[in-house]
Order: sequence, then C-alpha cells, then structure tokens
Amino acid sequence: MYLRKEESQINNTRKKLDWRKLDNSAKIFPIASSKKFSTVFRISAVLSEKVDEIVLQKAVEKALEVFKSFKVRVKSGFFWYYLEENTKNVRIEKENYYPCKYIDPNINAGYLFKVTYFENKINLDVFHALTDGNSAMHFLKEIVYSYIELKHPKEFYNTNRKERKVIYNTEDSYIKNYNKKTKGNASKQKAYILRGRKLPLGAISVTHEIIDLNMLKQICKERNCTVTQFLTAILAYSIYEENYKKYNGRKIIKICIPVNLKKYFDSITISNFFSYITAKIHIQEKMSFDYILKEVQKEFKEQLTPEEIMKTMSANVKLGNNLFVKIIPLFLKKIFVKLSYIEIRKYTTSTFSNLGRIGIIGDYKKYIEEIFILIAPESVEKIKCSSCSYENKMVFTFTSILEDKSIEKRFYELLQKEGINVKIESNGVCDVISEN
Amino acid sequence: MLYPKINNVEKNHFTIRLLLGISIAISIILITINLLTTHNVRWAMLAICGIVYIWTITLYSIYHNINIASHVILQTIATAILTILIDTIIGFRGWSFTIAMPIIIITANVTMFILTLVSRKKYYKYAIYQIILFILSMVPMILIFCNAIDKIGLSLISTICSLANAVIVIFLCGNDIEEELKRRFHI
Repeated sequence: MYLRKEESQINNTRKKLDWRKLDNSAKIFPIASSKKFSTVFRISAVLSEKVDEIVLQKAVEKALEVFKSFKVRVKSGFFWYYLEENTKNVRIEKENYYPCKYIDPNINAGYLFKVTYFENKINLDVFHALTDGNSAMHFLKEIVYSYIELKHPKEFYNTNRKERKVIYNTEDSYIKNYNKKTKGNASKQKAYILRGRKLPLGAISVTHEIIDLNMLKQICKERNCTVTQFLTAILAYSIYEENYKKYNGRKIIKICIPVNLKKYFDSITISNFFSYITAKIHIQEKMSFDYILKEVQKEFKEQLTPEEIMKTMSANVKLGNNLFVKIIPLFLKKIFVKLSYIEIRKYTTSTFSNLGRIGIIGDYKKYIEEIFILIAPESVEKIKCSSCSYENKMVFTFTSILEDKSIEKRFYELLQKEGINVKIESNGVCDVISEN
Repeated sequence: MLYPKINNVEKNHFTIRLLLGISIAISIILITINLLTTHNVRWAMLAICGIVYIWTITLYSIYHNINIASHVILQTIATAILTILIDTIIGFRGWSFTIAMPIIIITANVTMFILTLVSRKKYYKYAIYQIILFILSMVPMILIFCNAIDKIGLSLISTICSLANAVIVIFLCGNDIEEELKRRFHI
C-alpha cells in the first residue's frame, strides 16, 4: 500500500482545499502547452482479456485513493499556476481519439490525466505538469493491479500486495538538491530539425517496434554499449539516412535523452524529477552506424556523470528560481515563454525516453501482455521516441506528425540487420488519412 | 488491434468558425447599409458592439464553464464596456457612468452576496472574484473623487453597496480570502 507522507488537513466543518506549488519542471508546462504542444505522454498496458468499463472505473477510483496527489487540478495564480485538490469525480472513457491529445482542464473535470480503454488496452494519458514518466508508471501499475483484483476477486482476495509499503511525498526535489554555485553546460549549437509533409493538426501516427529483449541485450554486449546508447545510435542513423540526407541538412543531429534524477539523488517525490542529456552527432561526409554509435557513447560518458547532471539541473532550477522571473505576472510569462519556447525547441532534433524495465508482481504477470509509453510529438520535434521493457519484450515507440514513415522503416531494417527479432504494430493513421 | 480507427481528424471547431464568419458578414452588411443610407447616425456600430458582446460571453461560457462567480465578473466588465460604447456612439451624455455602471456594480455585488450566503461552505471558490469585484466597484468612487461625473447619487449608493458587501464578506469569510490570496499570489 502506498502511503502519502504529507496528509492534508481536513476541516470537518468547512473543508479547505489542499494546494501545492508546481515543481520546478512542471512550472513551465501549463504556460507553454497548447493543442500543438500538448506536453502529454501516454503509458498503456495491454491485458490478456477485454477491458470491462465498469471495473476499470472502480479501479481508477481505487487507485486515486492511494495516489491522492493526482487528484488535483491546475489553477492560475497571479505569478504562477498551482495545483489544487479536485473534488470532482474522475471519468474514464473509451479511446476515440489520437494518443497524447492536449488535456484541456476545462473539459476533463479539471484532471491532469485521462484514463481510456480500447479492446484489451488501458491507457493513461498524463499532462507533464502533474508528474514524470516514472511516477506515472507507478500510478498505471496501481490502476492495473486494482483492475485485476476487482476482475478476479477469488484469485486475489488474500493478496499481500496491500502490505507492500512505498512511501512518497510531493516535495520539489529540484529545489532540495540543486547547487546554486554550479554553472550551466547548455549547448549553444542549434539542431537539425526534421522536415517533411505534416499530418493534419491533432493526428499522430504511432509505430511500435516490439523488440526481442534478450537478442537486443546480446548485441549490445557484443558492441560493448548499453541498450539506450544502441537504440539512440540507431535512431540517429535512421534520421541521418532518411531525412537529413534527403533534405541536405547542415546542422548537427541532437537527440535529447531524459534522465531519471531519482537514481542520482535521494528523493521519493511523486512530482517531476528528471533532467536530460543531449547526444550530439556531428555529421561527416561518409557516416557509418559504427561512427554514430561511438559518438553517442562518447556523449553518454561525458554527460552521464553526477557533476554534469547537476550542472544541467541547476541551470534550469536557477532560471525558474530567479527573482526577476518569479515576479513577472503570469499573463506576461505566458507570452515570453511561448516566444522563447519556439527558439528553445530548435536545439533538439528528437527526444528518446527509455523508462527501462517495468517490474510487475508475479501473480499479475499472466494478465498483462505488453506495456509501452508514448510521448506527444510537436511542430518542431516532429518525431519523438520512447521505450520500456516488460518480460522479454522491449517496445520502442515512434510518435510522429510526419506523413513519411521512412525513419521508422529504416530503424526496423537496421535492427533486423543486426539479427534482432522485431515485430511492428501501428495505429494505421496514414492509411486512415489517405482513405479520407 | 491496439488502436481504434479514427476517421474525423479535428476540424478546429468548424461550427464556431462558421458562426464567426456569419457574424463578420452581417457586420460588413450593416456597415455598408449604414453608410449608404443614414451615414450621419452610426447605428451599425451599436449592432456590432452587441455582436462582440455576445461573442465574448458565448466563448467564455464555452471554454470556462467552471465557476459561476467568474461569469458575474465577466458580465460586469462586458456590460459596463458595452454601455460606455453605446453612450459614446450615440453622442456621449455620461449616463453610462452616472446611471448604467453604478446599477451594474450594485447588481454584481448583490449577486455575489447571494452566492456567498447560499454556498458559504464553498465560499473559497468565490474569494478571488470578490476581491476583483471590489476593485472594479471602486471605479465610481474614483470618478466621484476626480470630479469626473456631476450626478453622484447612484455612484455613491453603488460604492456604499460594495463597501458593505466587502465588510460582510470579510466578516464571514476573512480566513478564506487570506488563504486564497496566499495561493494566488505565491511566487
């Protein structure tokens, strides 16, 4: 059972709503987000049986009792947005639109997440202001566990899952851990921006590449690299071959890789706590995959150190903590942030987020077939990638607003060429659009 | 199959766009008729002000359907601007400031007061809007102090109403206001 460290003060005569500030990363998301830049990610679990709507509704309500910190809505203050306890009931829906759609607080009972289902799949779409991928995964697992328990009460009536205690809080771990004196290390070089015909507004194409994890690990071992480095290199090479060369790109290819800061700092927060490193690939006349892999490995080695991570994190915290930034009224912040974000996003070609291995309690495994994560692409970073592994499957997902699917195809071919078994699943968005 | 088949790519609020187009067309037609017939009386502007007013209220209601107090504030501001514009268009006589605005403010204060009484346990939801209304309600008083208006009767009554509302509200829900101010103005 998950216990909340900071219990809200409830006044029985007149209930005051609990509230909290947004964490340092989250501050930016409500200000910058829009239909074109949703900052929403999705985590899905595919079950071995069809999802029952009524049971799922109960499971979500049950999970929210455990994760009370997610029972919030975003409200605007004079200087910043903040999170306030949400007294409305959460409602699940059947999936009827593209994933990672902008979550409009005004039409989602104020909730910053959305639970939908389709056939055997349960989706959790999360607005990044609420939390990051790692914490959202805990919430999805709680929903899925509750669902399985409610659906199969006889099997789980004596479950000991409730006795497992995980303590979390809602602290801003950025503020707690950053170093005021550390200087930033941000790259000043702009990145190559993917080009090509875009899908209509709102449409997102999804391609899941379901990879045999044991084979992938074996290849990585032979090449003396990590799985994240290997997949980053394949992604960069696919971009180079299928988009960069086609459009005569000149700038460097930069892949942004989010880093879970809980591995580097002592934190049990359920709020955002991540940073990122950037793999920079300087383009040469004749590029080979081996060259790109070496470049990626070099970047990881240089940047994935506690000192460098502290530099990146501290630079971001210092900006959000700057008194001048703090006292700018929210309506002006919105203008400045939206303008500056147009520029900031030009420093990344694509993002690849690897959540790593997803652990599921033994008795529940037979009911879960696949778990995957998707990140919303946007007008500048037209393709975003994400992956996670469960049992012997790693699902690498492309979310794209480009009509052209050649990067996804090249990625698949490169894995096949390495001798790794890969299976493709997609949302068939391009077929649907061409039919229209 | 992992995903449903989606056939309707978002049409960007087609109905709203269509109605907006119709409103613009009506406005152009009215201006043209006005210029061709009675160009010395700008009656088309009155109609256009009405159209803009309706759009403001409608769009706000569609996108911000959460708090009734926010609608009171919006109506107060929008109606006050509408009456000032009408007064200006038909040859400014000052009635918008001496009569219309005080009546709007009195109505808004009474509405907010009733809202507070009927839902005291949820009053925290209205606290910020009470503060905004109080600031808006001070406009007639400022106009009196600046000698900008000659007939001060209704303006005085509206100021007294606003002050009375503010005092009662502070007495009833002062803690909520303090709490709300902390939330809204945190840096």
